[in-house]
Amino acid sequence: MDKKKEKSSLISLEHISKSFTEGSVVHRVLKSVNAEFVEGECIVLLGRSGSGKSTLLNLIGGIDRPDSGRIVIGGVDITALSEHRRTLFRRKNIGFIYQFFNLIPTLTVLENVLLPLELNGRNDRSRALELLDEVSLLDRKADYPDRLSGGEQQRIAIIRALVHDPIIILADEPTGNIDKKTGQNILDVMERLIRKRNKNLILVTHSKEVAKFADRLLLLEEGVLKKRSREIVW
Amino acid sequence: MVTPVLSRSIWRYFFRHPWVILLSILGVAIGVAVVVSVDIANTSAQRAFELSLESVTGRATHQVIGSPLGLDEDVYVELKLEFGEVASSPVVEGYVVVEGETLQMLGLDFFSDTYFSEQLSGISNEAMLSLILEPDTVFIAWKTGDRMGISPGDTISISVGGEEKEVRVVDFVGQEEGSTLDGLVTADISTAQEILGKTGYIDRINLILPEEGVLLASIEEWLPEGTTIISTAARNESTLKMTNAFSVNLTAMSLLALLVGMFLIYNTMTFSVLQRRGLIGSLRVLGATRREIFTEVLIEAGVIGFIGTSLGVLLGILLGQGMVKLVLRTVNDLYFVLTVSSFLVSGGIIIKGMLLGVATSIVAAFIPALEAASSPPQIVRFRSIMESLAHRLLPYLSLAGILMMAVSIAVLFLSSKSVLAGFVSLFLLVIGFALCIPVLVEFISRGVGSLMGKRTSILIKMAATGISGSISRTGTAIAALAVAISVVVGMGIMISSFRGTVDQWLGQALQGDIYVTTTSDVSKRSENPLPEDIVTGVMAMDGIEAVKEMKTVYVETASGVVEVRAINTIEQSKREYRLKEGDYTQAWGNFEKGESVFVSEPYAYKGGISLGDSVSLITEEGEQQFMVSGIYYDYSTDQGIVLIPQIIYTEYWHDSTISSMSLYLEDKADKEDIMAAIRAEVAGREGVVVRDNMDIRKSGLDVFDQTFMITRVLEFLVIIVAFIGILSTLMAYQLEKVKEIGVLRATGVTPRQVWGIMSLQTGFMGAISGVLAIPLGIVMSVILILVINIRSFGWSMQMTISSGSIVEALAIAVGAALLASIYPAWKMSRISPAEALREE
Repeated sequence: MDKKKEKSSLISLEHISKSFTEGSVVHRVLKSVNAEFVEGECIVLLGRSGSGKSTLLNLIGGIDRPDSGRIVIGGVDITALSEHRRTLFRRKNIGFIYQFFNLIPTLTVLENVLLPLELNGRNDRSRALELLDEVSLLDRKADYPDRLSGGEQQRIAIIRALVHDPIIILADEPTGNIDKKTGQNILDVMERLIRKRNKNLILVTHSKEVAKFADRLLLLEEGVLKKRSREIVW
Repeated sequence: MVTPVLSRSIWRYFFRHPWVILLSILGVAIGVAVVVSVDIANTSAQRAFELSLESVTGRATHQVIGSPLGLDEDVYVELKLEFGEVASSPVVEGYVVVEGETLQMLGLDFFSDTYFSEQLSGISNEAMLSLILEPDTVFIAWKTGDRMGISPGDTISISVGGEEKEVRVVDFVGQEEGSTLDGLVTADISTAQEILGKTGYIDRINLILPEEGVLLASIEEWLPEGTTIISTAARNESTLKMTNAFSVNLTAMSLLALLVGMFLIYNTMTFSVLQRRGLIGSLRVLGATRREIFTEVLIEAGVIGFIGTSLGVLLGILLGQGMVKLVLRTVNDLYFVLTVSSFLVSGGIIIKGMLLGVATSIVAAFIPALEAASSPPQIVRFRSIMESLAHRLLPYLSLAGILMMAVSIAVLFLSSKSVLAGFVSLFLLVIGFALCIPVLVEFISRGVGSLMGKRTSILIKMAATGISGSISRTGTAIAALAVAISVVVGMGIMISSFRGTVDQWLGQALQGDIYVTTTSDVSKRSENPLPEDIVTGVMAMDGIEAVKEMKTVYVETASGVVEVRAINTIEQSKREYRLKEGDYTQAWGNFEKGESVFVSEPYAYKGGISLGDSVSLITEEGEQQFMVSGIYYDYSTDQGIVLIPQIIYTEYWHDSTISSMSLYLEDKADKEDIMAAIRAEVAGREGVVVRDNMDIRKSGLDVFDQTFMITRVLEFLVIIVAFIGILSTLMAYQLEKVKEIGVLRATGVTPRQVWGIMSLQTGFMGAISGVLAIPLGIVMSVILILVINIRSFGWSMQMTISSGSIVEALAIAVGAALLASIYPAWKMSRISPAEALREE
């Protein structure tokens, strides 16, 4: 593989199609989507509700499979991998941030952060503690998630997503479930921890502030991915 | 008032998750089925016995009876001459074996003034004439004949005390619609006397008398010595009471299954409420009142209860057929010969089962209904708050449990001999302990979690702490399983202690090397005598050190019939009767001189008899009092035995025959040779068996194991109900954890790891159930052994707790939990992370 090309194209989506069936009705959510994302790039995905943004994110994250097409990440065609191999690939290379935080309620804050490390065979507590310190939540490490505010939970979710040093972070409406001020705080954290570390981020949002975060804006409309200039987004 | 739309919005949850409703219906159904089947078995056996008594006593109000050897037939003639105005009829009765089935034989005098058995009314005059005039002719109950493929005119072979005889069946009796006659062979009195070897004797005289009156008093006064008159009703009642304790024990066991079923319903209803907290919250926000929500949840429980109970009743009727056979076998082994062809399913049983099932369902759903209705709308929506509420409730629940256990102990000490009070105490203890289980689970789960070091895998930690995190669900499931397992532990310890005690007792009571006995009881009143020439022949053999002779008869007392065993006293046999009370030297000294008798432990307990008291027995010399100088351990019958010296028996009953011999061999004697010699001696003589002590010991233990077969069946059913409880918990759990599993899968947890977490967690739940079941089971066994068993049967037994029963309980608990986890774990491992997260 050409070294230059490998660096410039980290993720490649080739003719991705995905449809869902509801009763007898078939919804074609993605229609032969093509895209290339380069290393260190921050992509913001826009689109109306139900336009398929989250579906695309799930496909890139390998938690779902397209009906047709290929998704190549770092030279690996994840659509050709078995369920087990895809899980192992995801475990190592992908980090997820969700709108509703999705911390594991029966694990403490520290354990939540340690989980991806442990799954990757690393018991690097110092790294987890260091990140907790960076988001000013070190003193809450022994608490269970239900004791934390929404903003605090999301900060934990962010460090959980990047603690194991994945190549891509996928964020689905990370500020969608918190107030504006806390949302700004979350964006600051993301800026500091993800962007400045040159991580790849694909982010789904409706927020103008979050969109400003992007290197590139993409719009999903009628199952097709379109490029959008920053000026005409809102 | 619950509106149809509101109702629909709630009910559709069940249509989306049919397994929730199916599992709870199944749980209720099995719980109810166990209760109904045991009820049917008990009632059928009871009814069969009543019918059996009815068919032999007919309309007789009183009976004149004599010694175990019977009444001289002249007594009837004299009574007839003296009291010609009294309707009376002589009866000869005994047992015969036809095609391997033991049937009752009745010999009746068809010329007597009044015929007592109405069932014979359909018989033609010709048939009646044949029976009276032709020798060796019988009537047979239609149901029995039909079952055995016998037709009128057939010649059948009947075995009496091992001897075969040919008789001709003249006709059927009990052919009319609704007749319940079964297991009965009727013959003319002279034929019966000949067949049963009672020529010149009758067993009783049936009379129809006004209950209280001058006539009764006159007959009592007239009766010759050695005979007595008894009320048929009182006699039947005392005989029926024999099986009371046995029935109560079975019923209690079945109620325990329902109790576990109740946990299951509670679990299901709690889950269904928790699952729909969002829906209920939304409905409350929209304006549904607390009362409407409460009513709706209770209606749901009522409907589930009704469907489950209806199925349970049907299942119970099916199960009852097998159960009747088991109960019958136990009754036959322990009490009396019965033929239950009437499988009795009364309206009462069905109504009782229905009420029990539906009421239990509604009671079990009461707390979840209250929980759903009482929370403010916004709270209903958050599960973590619901869990916090559950956690806050735990101390109060435990307090209630501790109080219940305290009441249980109080009931135990305040009730003296009541079996029912013993069971009430046991139930209170079980429920009380079950209420404390959630807090113990919380403690153990958190404790184990914190004990796990930093090096322990987070996934393993999740499995442990997840139990405490969902205590509102896991607590009940673990409690249900723990109660079921405690039944296994408690009953297991009780049965093994009992078996151990019986085994030890058999070893001690069977000191003889060889036993020569008569095979079967032809008479209801005494065991067949051993032929005199055999007795003399055996005694003259070489190599025999001593012989214990015994005669067993059934003697009338004020409290019913009692088994009396008459023995000669030899040194060797003294060791066979281990005294519970009484000084060995003094007791045996008096016994040998014929000055006192011994009674068995159950007889003493039930009759409240102490050393120095007297027992009253009707003898050929009239009613006599015998002083008790020893109370001995005996586990052969819970009805009790009076052991008397042979000299007393010969003197007062005028009978010198014996029905069994125990031979104690000389040290150098060859047992096999002697057995062969005795077998040669008795060859060709039907009805005499020669067995060695090991053989008798083995068959004694076989009977024991057969008796407890029904208990094992009930135990198994209790575990099935608990298994369904765990399964339904895990299914609901899986539904709740969809998103969490989705996140784990997205983070890189493989399906196999999900399966692993789930199995580990369930195995842990099983292990906690097992660990908690052990103390409860042990306390349960203490109550069963020291209270219920003694109050029911009068037997004391040595309690032995084997490590085997503890390990078995733990294995069943973990095994049942893991088995129940297979399907939910498989489903969880197949959760698509994309689907799970899309639910957002």
